[in-house]
This record gives sequence, C-alpha cells and structure tokens, in this order.
Amino acid sequence: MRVTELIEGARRLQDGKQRERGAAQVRTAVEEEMPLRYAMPLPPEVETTFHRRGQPTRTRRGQWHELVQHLTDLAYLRPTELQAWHEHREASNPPTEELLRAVVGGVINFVTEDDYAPLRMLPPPPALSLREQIEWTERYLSTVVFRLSQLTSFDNELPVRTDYRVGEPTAYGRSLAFRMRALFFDYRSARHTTRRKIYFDASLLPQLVALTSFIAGASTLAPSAGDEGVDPELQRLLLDGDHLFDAYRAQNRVGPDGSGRMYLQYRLRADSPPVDEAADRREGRLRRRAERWVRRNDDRLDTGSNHFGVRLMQLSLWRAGFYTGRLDGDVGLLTHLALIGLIEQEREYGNIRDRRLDRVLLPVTEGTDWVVDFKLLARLLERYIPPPLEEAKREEDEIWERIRASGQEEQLDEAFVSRQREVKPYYGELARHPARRVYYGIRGLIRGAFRAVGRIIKWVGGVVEEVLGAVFDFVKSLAKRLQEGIGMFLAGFRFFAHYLLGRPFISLGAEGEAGQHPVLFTRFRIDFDVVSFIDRGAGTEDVARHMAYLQRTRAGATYFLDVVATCLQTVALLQPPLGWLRLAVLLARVVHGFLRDDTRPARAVA
Amino acid sequence: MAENKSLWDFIEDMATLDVVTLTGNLTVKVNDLQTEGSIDGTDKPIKFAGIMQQLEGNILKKDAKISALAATHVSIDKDTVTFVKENLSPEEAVYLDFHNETVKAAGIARAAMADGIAKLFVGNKK
Repeated sequence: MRVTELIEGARRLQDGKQRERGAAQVRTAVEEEMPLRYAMPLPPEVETTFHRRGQPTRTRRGQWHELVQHLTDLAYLRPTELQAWHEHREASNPPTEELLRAVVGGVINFVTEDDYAPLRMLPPPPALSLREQIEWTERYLSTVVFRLSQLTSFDNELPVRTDYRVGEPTAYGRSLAFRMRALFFDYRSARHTTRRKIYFDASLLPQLVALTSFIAGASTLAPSAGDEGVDPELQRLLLDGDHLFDAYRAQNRVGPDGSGRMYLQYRLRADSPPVDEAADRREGRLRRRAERWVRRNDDRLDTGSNHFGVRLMQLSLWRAGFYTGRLDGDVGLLTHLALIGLIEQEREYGNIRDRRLDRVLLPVTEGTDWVVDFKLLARLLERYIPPPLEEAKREEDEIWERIRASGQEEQLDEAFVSRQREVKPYYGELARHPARRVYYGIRGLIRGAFRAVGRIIKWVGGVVEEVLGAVFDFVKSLAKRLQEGIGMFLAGFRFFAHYLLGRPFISLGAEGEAGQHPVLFTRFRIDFDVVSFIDRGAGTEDVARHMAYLQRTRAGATYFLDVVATCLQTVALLQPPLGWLRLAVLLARVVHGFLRDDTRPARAVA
Repeated sequence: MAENKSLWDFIEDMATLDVVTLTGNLTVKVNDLQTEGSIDGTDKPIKFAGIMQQLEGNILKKDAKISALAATHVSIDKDTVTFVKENLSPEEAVYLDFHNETVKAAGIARAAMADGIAKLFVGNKK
C-alpha cells in the first residue's frame, strides 16, 4: 500500500464524497499498514510489544526504554531497576511482572505529582488492577514520555518557576535534583546505586553555591540555607545546558566576545589507544604548542573548575550525538573518541579551516595527557545548539529534501525499521553501564543530523562511515518522531475508528451453554447515531460491563479526537508522492504541537 | 452515512440523534477464535475479524430473531421521541436502562467531540 491511498481516503472523509470508501481506505492504511511500516503494534499492548509475535515492534519498545530512563532520572525508579530492565532487553526477554509493576507505579506517581496541563485532561490512572494500569500507560505513553522528556531535558524545554519552593515534593523538584546529580554527582564514591536525592532540598544548596563559583555573574544569586526559593536565573542555568555553557565560558573569558584562552586538561588511562604512530613534524609542532599551554595553564588538571568544564563538555558532546558515556567529569576513552568524532565530522562537513581544527585537541605526552582548547571547542559546539522549533523544522525538511534528491527516500522507507539495528551498539549498553544515558532532545538531534547531511545520505545508500554524530542523531530523531507522533496517532485512532469510522464496540458476556458467550455490541456512525445489539442471554452484569467499556473509551476519545482529526486533516492536504517516513515526520509535528501546548486550560474528559 | 452526502446533509445529520437498541439471539464461541488483540479492553483477547465473521453469519441466518427493543430520536431543539417495545421482561428492562444511558452518552460524546469533527469535516476555522 502507498501513502497516496491514505491521502485519497482522508480526502474522501473530509469532502463527504464517498465517505464510507474513504473510511475503509484510512482504516486499512492506519490499522494494517502503519503498524508494520513503523514497527508499532496496534492495539498497543505490552504482550505484543515485548513478546514480538512475529511483528516488528521495535519502535514501541524504544518508547518504553525512554520511559524507563526518564523515570529513573527523576527517581521514580531505582538505577537497579533500570539495569534489570535492560538486562531483560539484552536477553530478548519481556520485563517481569514485578518490573512492569514498578514502571507503571512510577508513571502513576509522576502523574500524581506533576501539574502539566495535558495530564489533567487524561482520565485518572486505574487504582488497583496492574493490567488496567499497563493499558492506561500504553494508551497515554506518548503524552507521559513527552512530559518526562521535558523534565529531564537540558534543551530549555521547561519554563522556570518563580513560585518554586525548595523541598517541594513535585516532579519539578525531582527535575532540579536530577540536574544537580548530572552536574555534580561523584561517581568515584560509588554511592549512586543507593543514595540519591529524590527532590531538590536544602542539603543541595551548597552545591548550588559551588555552581555559582564556576559561572559568571552568579555570585549574587547564591542561595543560603534560609532561602525558600531558588533564584529564577539559577533555575534557568540548571534547565538550559547552553545557557550554563555560555555562563561558564564567560567566567573564563572565552565566550564569543571574550579575549581569554582556556584549556581543559585530561589524562587517559594507560589502556587507552596510543596516538597515531605516523607522527610527523606537524604533529610534533602541535605537541610543543600543547606543552606551552599546559605550562601557562598552571596545572588545572585536578581543579574543580576543570572537572566542571569537562562535565559540561561531556554534556554538550552527549547532546550533539558523539558521546554515549556517563556525565562524570572524568575523561575516559568514550569522551576522548567523542571529541575526535566531533572534530572529524566538522573537518569533513563543516566550514572551519583544518588548521584551526588541528588545534582543538592536542596531545601533550604521547597518548595519555591531552589538552582541549576550550575556546575553539566551544566554537564547534555552538554549531550543535538546538535551534528554535521553526528552524529545526526547516533543517529537518532540508534533510528530507536531500534524501529525496539523492533518489533514496523509497529505499530508506523500506529499510529503516531493520537498519535501526546498526546504531544499537551506540545506545550505551545500559545493562552493564546503568549510569549512561541516551539523549532524546528532538531539536538537538535534528541539528546534529543537519550538520552532516552528506554522511546521512551515504549511510542511507549503504556506505557506513562513522555512525556517531550525524547518523546517530538522524536515526534517533526519526525513531523519536515515530514513537511520539505515530505512537499517539495510533493510540488515538482506535477511538476515532470507533466513534467516527463505524468500528463497533463489542463485549462478550459470561460464558453460557456449550461455551457460547452472549454478544453485546454498539456501533456509532459518523453523525453519532447509535445502534446497539444485546443478546437475549446477556445478564445485568454483562450489560453493566459493556456500558463501563463505552464510558472508558469515551474518556480516551475526548482526549485524542482533536489530535487525530488534525492529523487526518493534514494528511488530506498532502501532495503525493510521499514516503511513509516523511509522512510520519509530518504527523509527528502535529502531535508535538498538541503536546507542547501546555497553556491550554485543563479540560475534563466527557 | 450514505455515500455522496453534501456538507449540509452532514450538518443536518449531526443536528439529530437516533439511537436504536436491538435484541435477539447472537452468541459466539470464544474457543473457535484465535487470540489476537482485545475486544472490550478488559480480559478477553479475541481475534476481531473472527468475531465479526461469526456475527455476520448469525445475523444472516433465516431464523435469526432480531427485534427492536427501543428507539430514540432527539431533534435539534432537544425534542425527544422514544419507542419502546411492549411487555418488557425483567431482563429487557435492564436493556432499556442501557438504551437510555446510551442516548445520554451519545449526546455527551457528540458534544465533546464536536470541535474535532468540525475540524476534520468542515475545516479548521482557527
């Protein structure tokens, strides 16, 4: 089936000519083609998602993995539970009931604590039945994950709260505590598996004071133990990684207008790979330059500011798609290779001269001690700052135009679901390294991909160069689009099909003679006229259960109908030819718009 | 809805509400159906296509006795006309309660979803 038929169906639905035929076309495309194309089960069920009954369900599983990461970062789950989750994933086993209970329990706690307006529009999660709680989580997974991703993002996705009070037991308080961990947690003390602050509280204020000593102009913001709130500017520094990075640069006078120079130093372990043996005279010259820098730099290796700078560098490299290790302020091989990856990608696809790129990272001694010219590195990393939403859309469109122009859009359409496996090794191996994280910020991912579209084109064509960087960002951004956009569209479409496309609600009553079950069904037509049928053998409880089923479904329909209708309206306006993945990106933008709109007043479900 | 209706026909359809509840003999055997998906969102995983085939087969049987229990027409000015079968048995009285609840639910659902429907079929006026 091609996207053209879906577009035809949506147009027929909209203009009223051959509406029944349009409904059939749309249902076939959405209920049969999309789940296979996008590796999303329909209906979304844990059993289908994790037992992999012969259908591709990778995308849905990915969304659950993201959910578990965010819940862990916000301390709704323990790190050991994240580790257990990924041990099951690596063994291709579904999560145990105990793990699922912990995850949906975390979701319910989160929904109770957070005041994000769309969450208030959802029917409340079921109180007791695990099965119903899982179904609820499946149904609203995109909404929940979207919000969690805002709370754990460093992309300035979260508005500062002027009314925040230290110690308050809210999801926002957890978000601030998570950020303090990301910036300050001492992994060398190995306490991270047992001792974590759940909410930001007064005991974290000294670390906040330490933060102000590393950044410019923040000394007046330092809170004291008596403060009830946290200065909005300090909150912004925690919420916006780029703002924090800029403040650190300004403190060290290496910002865009600064005249100073600054160098980060690090020492790799002895088991790290040696420098390229083909050292020539040029490399020797660069090494002598590094030695001079180190002498002038007054041995910063073990200073707090140096560690903090390294951690900010890791944060930026992680968000740019090059770093897959943990944020710990210690440079190991992954950080080192991430730096090299960034420089090499910019050398090949960027617009900075090679001579300058040569000076970003220099060896001081052969293979162990290194120096980073922080000013030059910051110039590179500036190019990966997540753009505003409109600019991200433009860049995303341009990536797809380039793919289409290369004649490979159809090829990518056919192969993407399986080719996601190629980036699997770069997701951090969380079963063995539970402190590592996957970056999920969509604007940053798009920017990262956009920096080297040529590399993506080559990858689509089967030429595998370096995967970290642009290719990794592209695959993750597309998977994220599918998870969020198609996840919500498919979840909502079931309700839409029931209420507007004539799919009947069917219940079976209690088993009677010879294993026969009485049938109850209700069918809504597009104008909401209703035909119900009740078998004469149906008892009072059967009727009550059918009624409860209709009521539950109506609550979901009220939440989803607007977004699904807008998606179909968007589809009706599209001009073929169009690939399935491109379609998913466009639908995901519609969904993203709905999810971002958190200024809407809370609307009770019908 | 019939094919090729005009926008005005659609708006007129939306302005009225018809709810019909039928009773008869329709049962299915769950064991005959492969498990895949769920029917009522609770605890009965059943293959949707299979159950529809059984239902359609039953409806087409000559001896299928299907009768109207109740029918309600609600017009735009909320005038309501309800037909109810005579001499309801105690079980059918429960079904009538269901019918009345469905009339209310259909009205609520239509009102709640009016914006979305208008957006899809009449166009987004934002």
